[in-house]
Amino acid sequence: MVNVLIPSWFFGWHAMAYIVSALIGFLVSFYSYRIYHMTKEQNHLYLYLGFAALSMAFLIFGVVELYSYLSISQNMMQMFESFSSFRDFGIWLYYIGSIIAYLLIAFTYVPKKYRFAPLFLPMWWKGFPYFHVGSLFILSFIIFRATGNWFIKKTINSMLVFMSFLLIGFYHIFLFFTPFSEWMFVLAHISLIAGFLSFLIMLIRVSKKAGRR
Amino acid sequence: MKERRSKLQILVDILRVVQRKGGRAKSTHILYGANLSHKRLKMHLDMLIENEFLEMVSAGGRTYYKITPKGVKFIIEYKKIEEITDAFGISI
Repeated sequence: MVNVLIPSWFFGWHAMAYIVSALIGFLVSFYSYRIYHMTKEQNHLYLYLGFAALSMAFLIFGVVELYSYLSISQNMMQMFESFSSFRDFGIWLYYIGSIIAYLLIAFTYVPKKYRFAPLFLPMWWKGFPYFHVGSLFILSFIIFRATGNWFIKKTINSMLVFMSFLLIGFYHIFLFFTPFSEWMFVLAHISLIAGFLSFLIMLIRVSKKAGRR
Repeated sequence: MKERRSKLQILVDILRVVQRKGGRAKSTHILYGANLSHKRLKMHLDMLIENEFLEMVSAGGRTYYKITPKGVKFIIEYKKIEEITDAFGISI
């Protein structure tokens, strides 16, 4: 059993970080759906489904964590007892949802003939530390592709997408080190929200630019 | 080597040529502007008219293709998705 150090003053705020990230994620998935609706391309469908799954996973986790915060802060521990198994279920949904989401987003960049590759991924990410290793493993491929795209295009929007994935990667790295310092927990959630804000800035820029024409 | 344009890109190219010509263009202008063969141009123009992105108008004994508000909206929408796919590094 790994002990995660969570600063008491930050508990609750982290739930808000997940909910806000989920809302921005839904916005990205909405735009991705519009792309898919227009092109009917399979890789655009993966982008849409990936962001929808990621947002759903974050939203579930955010709501579960917010509920546990409210239960604790209102001294409703007896209620929390019965809630514990539901909370575990929520966390598992978040784990599985996130992994599926990252795989779907990675599929966006993978040619059709190589999409069997995830079958060879190590499937040992049961529980806290391994989930973050597994997520980072998939995210590193997405970050690699986003970096390459930024180097080629050299546009602010491609940099924002690269920054988003990089910061989500840092979120997993910081969470991996939460047993060592409670500040890691704070940094992880700042990193997460900054990553999704980067997506939001990109979408705002795109909408403004298109509206000017 | 230049990548082959998708059908969607060709349709948008046609609409952009018409828009550049002030919202109304002759088929020869579209032909050169969108870099298409006569046969393919006819096919795509029919599709754009069918979907109400373009409409045929006659003036001075000549036939023009006029972009509709739906066509203008389609170009704006395409510009958005082009920017987003570009940012993610995926092709349309």
